[in-house]
Amino acid sequence: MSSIPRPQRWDRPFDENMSDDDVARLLAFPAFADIDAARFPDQIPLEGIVHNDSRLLHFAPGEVVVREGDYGNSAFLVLEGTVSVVLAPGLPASMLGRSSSRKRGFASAFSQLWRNRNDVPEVRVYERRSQAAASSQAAGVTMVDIAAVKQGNSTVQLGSGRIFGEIAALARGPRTATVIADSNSVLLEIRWQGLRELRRFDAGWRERIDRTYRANALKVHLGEDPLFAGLPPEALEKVAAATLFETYGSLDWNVQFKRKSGSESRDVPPIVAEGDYPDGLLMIRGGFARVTRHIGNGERSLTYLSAGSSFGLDELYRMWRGEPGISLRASIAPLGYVDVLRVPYFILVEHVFPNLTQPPQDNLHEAYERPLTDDSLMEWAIDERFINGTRTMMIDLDRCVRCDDCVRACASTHGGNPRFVRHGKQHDHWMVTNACMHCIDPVCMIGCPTGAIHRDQATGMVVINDESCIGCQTCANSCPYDNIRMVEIRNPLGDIIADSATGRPILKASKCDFCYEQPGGPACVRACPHDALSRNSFAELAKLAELR
Amino acid sequence: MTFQGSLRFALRMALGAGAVVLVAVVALIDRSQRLDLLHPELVTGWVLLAAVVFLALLNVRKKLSMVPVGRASDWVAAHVVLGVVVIVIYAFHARAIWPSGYELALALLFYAVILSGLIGYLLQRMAPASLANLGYEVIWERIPAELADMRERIEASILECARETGSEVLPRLYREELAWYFRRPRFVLASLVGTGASSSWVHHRLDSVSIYLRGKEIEHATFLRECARRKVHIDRAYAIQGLLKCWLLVHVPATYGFLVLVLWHLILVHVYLV
Ligand code: HEM
Repeated sequence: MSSIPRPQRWDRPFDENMSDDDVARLLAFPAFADIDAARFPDQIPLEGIVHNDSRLLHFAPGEVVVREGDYGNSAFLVLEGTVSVVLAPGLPASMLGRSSSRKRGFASAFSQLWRNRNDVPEVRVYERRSQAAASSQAAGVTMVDIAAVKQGNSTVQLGSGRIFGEIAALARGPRTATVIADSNSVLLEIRWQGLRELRRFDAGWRERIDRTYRANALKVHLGEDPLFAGLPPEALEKVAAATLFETYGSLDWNVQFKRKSGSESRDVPPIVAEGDYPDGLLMIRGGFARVTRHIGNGERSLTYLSAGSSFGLDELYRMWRGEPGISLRASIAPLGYVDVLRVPYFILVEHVFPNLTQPPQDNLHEAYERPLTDDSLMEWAIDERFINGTRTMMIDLDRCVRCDDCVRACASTHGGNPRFVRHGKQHDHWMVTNACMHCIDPVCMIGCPTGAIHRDQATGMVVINDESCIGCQTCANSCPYDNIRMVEIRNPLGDIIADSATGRPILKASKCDFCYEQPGGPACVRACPHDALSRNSFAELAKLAELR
Repeated sequence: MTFQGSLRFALRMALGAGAVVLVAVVALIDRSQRLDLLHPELVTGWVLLAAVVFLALLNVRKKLSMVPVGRASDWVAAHVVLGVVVIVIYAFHARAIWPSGYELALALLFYAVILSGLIGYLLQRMAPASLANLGYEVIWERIPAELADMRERIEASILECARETGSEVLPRLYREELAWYFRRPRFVLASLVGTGASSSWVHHRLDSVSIYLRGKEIEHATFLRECARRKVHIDRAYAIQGLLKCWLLVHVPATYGFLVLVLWHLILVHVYLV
């Protein structure tokens, strides 16, 4: 058995070069100076957060700070200079110099044939590790002509003391806007673990983050919706001012879901109920909601709503047209948690309905008319929360010959150990295996103390940076589907690597990475001799039409 | 159909067309060489060898899952189509069903490969649905562990029953008959054919003693029945999955044996021709 010191949070600071002087200067900056450091626990001091969870970045004029669509796990505080946020519709992808994740070449992929040791899985060579490779988030430099951008797009300028990027950081989603440096600027990038602690222990930051988060999210969200996209800025301002924020369920839905041994409860009070008088358009900003109608003594799921979908427009429109006795034709209830924007009826009457050239249409009626058993797969996927997955591994058991070629292919592309188990919940002839689904709402990322589990910037896949994983099991415990496993690691001789202090084996989190670095895509799909295995998004699978 | 779907459909169609063309070309060459009093066996032999080597390469493809060398399902489709074509080419080449000498061994190995391939192909088409219809998935490697776990729970239940009721009926039934049944998968052939022998064997025994059971004992017997139902599924899954693995134990070794004899065949033919 060989041994190394057990990895700890902050073993790998976000910025290796952050000095004590830098930290002292940052702590004197107004955004930090007002914080009561005494409120932070001893093991997570404010100074420690600034030192380890943030990094100083310098940008030249025209340099892109974040690109719209990239998955980001951090927010930025402007220290010096100014930056511009490019509002929707945003810059073309080509202008943003989208980088792709580092795919292996053919030769490198082929060499896994002899590099992988099937007899000794999970080998790590610690001596050869580069200390500098801590951050997988380092952005490539992209320059744009700032004057041209400002001419062709609406932008918002942010100066010293302003925070941005917190939408993506806290919602674990893609960046909603591109941000470009206007002048020589110095920014402090705070990874979301640090942002979370700042928000948790300081009321000022909490209030500030929430305010900016809400205001920015709303503008972006409304601006992206076809209903409001064409509105003049003053009208959009009015819509934003009247829109209500509502959150239902709890953000840590995964904990309850897991406790109930993985099945979504149907006894949840609805946000609005079938037969209610419609008072506003409900737009889903994050999370999921179930749309149901009474049938017999139960509730039948007609569809589910996720970020970007909305509910009630059809009824509201018909009310505006003067149809009598209008009420909601279905109920909606949170699935775990859901973030909702409620745009009041009078706002739609004033700014939206008069501009509609065609009446809005949803598919609720057709959904209700479908034969009862047609929806069983969807009902199951909703109850089991598989709708969260974007790359859910499904095996058609009518085709699968149980040869395990998929498992072997996975092992041979991942150091001799497969990243999934060919087992899982079954419905009819479908099996959803215990393989990472690369969720829309990746709750596994919540609480990772080092940011090791993150979304790959180019592909959006949820991946683990093995170097910064400290084996704390937070992600494995958070995953509601038990799709992350903790593995013991070994040196090339096959000895288990242990913590030099306690002698206990060092663990690393291991899960499907959708072969994001392999040429040719996921090995499991390619290896299946009978096309029985596929990776699906339930949203596409069920071909659920939008409600409007 | 998605773009990918139509592409793959086109690929499969092209495969079929390619197979027909290959057979036609081989038939033409064979015929014209025969008319010219040449040795068409030389051409058909080399084509046959090339085809067989390609078929055997499927094994190599399976080991190369880390490199993008095409989807395994496309390889298998090509394998099956070419496998059937090879039968025709072989017929042109060998011209005898039962040759003599070492060539008989060669022919027998070829038949073994072909026959096992055809049977395996059919099995792969038909068996998965029977497994899916069992309702729950049995993992082959876990069968011994699952049975051990089941035995442990049954024995605990029977001990408890004896303690609670003082009756010897279930302990005796278990010792005399059921222990054998739950030790490992049983009625393999019958489970394969689906005669229901496994189920009727165990339920007949439970029914036979049911007249001696009272009160609490009935609850324990019900638990035994639940385990028996699961065991019937395990027996069937074991039989089907075993078969799905077994045929390859003929197909692959016969392939290698065939290739070795082909090498010998080549040397002899070469010496003979020279
Ligand atoms: C000379 C002729 C043939 C040779 C040399 C050959 C060789 C092979 C080899 C080496 C494998 C790979 C097994 C493994 O590694 O798992 C294989 C698999 C297989 N062969 Fe053949 N084969 C031949 C003919 C056929 C024929 C005629 C058929 C059926 C029409 C067939 C059907 C199959 C099937 C279904 C598989 C399994 C594919 C899978 O599920 O992965 N083969 N064969």
